[in-house]
Amino acid sequence: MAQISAPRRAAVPRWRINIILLVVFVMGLLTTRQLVLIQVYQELKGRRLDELVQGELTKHVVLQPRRGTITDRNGVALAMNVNLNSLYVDSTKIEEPEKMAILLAPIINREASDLIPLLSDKTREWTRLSRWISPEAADQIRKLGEEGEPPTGLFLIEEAKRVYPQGEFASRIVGAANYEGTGIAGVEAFYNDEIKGITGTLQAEQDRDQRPIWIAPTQIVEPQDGVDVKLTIDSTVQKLAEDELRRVVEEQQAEGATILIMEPSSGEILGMATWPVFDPNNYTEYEPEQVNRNNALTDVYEPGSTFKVIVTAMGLQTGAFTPDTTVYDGGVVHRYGYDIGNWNRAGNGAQTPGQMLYNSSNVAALQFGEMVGRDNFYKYVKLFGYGQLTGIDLGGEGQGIVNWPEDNPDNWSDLTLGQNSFGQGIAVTPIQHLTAMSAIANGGTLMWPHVVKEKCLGTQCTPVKPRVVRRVVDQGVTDAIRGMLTTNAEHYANLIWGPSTGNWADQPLVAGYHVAAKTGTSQIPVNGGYDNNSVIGSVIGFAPSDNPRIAVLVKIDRPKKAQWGIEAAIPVYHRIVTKLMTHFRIPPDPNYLGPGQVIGGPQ
Amino acid sequence: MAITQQQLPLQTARVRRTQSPSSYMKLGDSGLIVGAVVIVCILSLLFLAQTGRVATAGYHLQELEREHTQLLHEAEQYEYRIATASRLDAITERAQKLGLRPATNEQLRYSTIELPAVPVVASNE
Repeated sequence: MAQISAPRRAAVPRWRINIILLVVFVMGLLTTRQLVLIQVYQELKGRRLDELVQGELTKHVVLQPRRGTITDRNGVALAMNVNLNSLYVDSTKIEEPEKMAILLAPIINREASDLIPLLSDKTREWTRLSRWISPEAADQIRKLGEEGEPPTGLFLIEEAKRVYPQGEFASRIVGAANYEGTGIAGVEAFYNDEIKGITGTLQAEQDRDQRPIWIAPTQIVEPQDGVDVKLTIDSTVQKLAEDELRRVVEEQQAEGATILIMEPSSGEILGMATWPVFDPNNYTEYEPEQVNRNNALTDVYEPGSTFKVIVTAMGLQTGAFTPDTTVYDGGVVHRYGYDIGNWNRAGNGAQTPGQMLYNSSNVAALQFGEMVGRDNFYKYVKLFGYGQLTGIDLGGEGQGIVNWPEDNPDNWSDLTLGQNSFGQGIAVTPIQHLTAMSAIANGGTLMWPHVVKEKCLGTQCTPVKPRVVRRVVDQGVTDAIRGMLTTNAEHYANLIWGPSTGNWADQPLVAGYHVAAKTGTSQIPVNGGYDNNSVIGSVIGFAPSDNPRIAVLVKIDRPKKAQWGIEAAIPVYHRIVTKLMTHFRIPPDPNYLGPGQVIGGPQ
Repeated sequence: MAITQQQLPLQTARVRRTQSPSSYMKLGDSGLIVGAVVIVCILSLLFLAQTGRVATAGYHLQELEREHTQLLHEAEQYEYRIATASRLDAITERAQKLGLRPATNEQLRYSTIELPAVPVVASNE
């Protein structure tokens, strides 16, 4: 029987064993080094372990404050915050992109053809399909899925949005905040630092689901919410102003218009409407200039005959003339090599300041201006606030153009004074002009115009108190001017009442109310001369004359239908004052009615 | 026959306890170690239970905060809807649908209300 011998063990060369030992030794060394690094020096890949742990565990969160709301004086919300859902998609999880696109398109107002590539792109895991969709749209998307959740692959994420529930309404005052929550126009921009609030921080250890672990020390700096702002705007007044603005722009095919309504005793702006308007909810759809520009503050124009009121006030205040002083109006007057005349070159004879206003005589105004004299004239121009900022709490205000004799000797001549006396050669902003007129309505005291009435932080409210800028003229002067302007307003009444009553004589402009008004037709400077084809028609005044509650400015830029502009502006002024007298519950005087006039009419 | 009385161990211990209570309370080294371990265990258990309760309460608090925030957001949504519905344009439109019209001049009535005279407060002096 053959003996089976055990297989011979193959001899392993010694060098191989040495190599293996060496490798094991080197690996052992490396492992030991790593152990020392981790256990002794607490380092991993060049970073300290405690830092890595801290980074993994600790959560740093910026806590956003709530941006303050903006309301009108009665609490009507004009700007607020709302958390709306944005729709995101993880396209790798969408099984039928075409079908999903067709379902989503009408809900988020996008074309299905635009959505299909976004839903089909398997290389992108997170794409925003629509930002800030309406709650109704969000509900519809949830109904597409199961158990009240969006379909697989779609996500609704809440994101804060600044919204303007009134849309275009009062947008020139409220302004707009951009998508990052920074005010870029109006009150939103001017008070941005107060409205935006102060961000807070949260530093805490977190668990696997990124929730703070409460047993670990937590550092919280609470965010401070922004200030809630209450405007001086009265929504009813603002609505009336905007409706009238839209109506007159359409009727007259005007290039622009401005309606300003102020409370003379406080300087509070009750309504401010300018054309064109914009919707702050979609501010990106407008030119930046259209969003940022508030024509009531930025636009300068020659006030024309409305400035004669100011000249009358300065003359009476300085004693340069009295209400009974007369100058001769021959229709044209020759000064410094130029003929200066009335609008129709017709003379009015002897003119008192009241008659000068009534007939809107340029020739008489020039002579009254000369009687005031250069120094007093420009002293009072300055005191009334022309050529300088009013300081209204809105951005972008212009300061108008006044050629001061001392500051601009090259641009000023004796003729300038004459032109300025009837509102030419001087440019004002609507807010400047109405503020000055409000001083006359307010017994001679110039008030600071403002649009914010109150600022509230939580329940702590701080009222913005009316501020007296200065006393410009005495009460006696303004009393005299009120009388003149009331007579003046009666002069314009036939435009309103003549067609319905057949009475074309002077009569109350607003039936039952004593109202002050002065019109102006301003020429528009172009290329060193004046535009012969267009004018700016304006009316400025206040009501009731004896105890003014409102001061109103109506300005219509380049009306196409009304030759002098004032035929367009007076009806607007009449309608606004008529409705506001009722709104402010000011009882009419039943004895102050012309033949055929009815209170509140004509309708 | 002599009778030997032998006490049982428990009885012996009771006697010793009553005779010298201080010696009974004295612990040896091993007793101290066992006692310390027991105390540490109890404290650890208490700490663990307390920590667990705090963490649970923290999560509960967090959940409540989340609900609070959610409710605030819902309130904002309603405020937004109210504000949108109370636009003057919308109110005018709804009023007209209801058949309401602005008052005409003939329908306006102005009344002068005579305020009562300020009552004279009788003085005791």
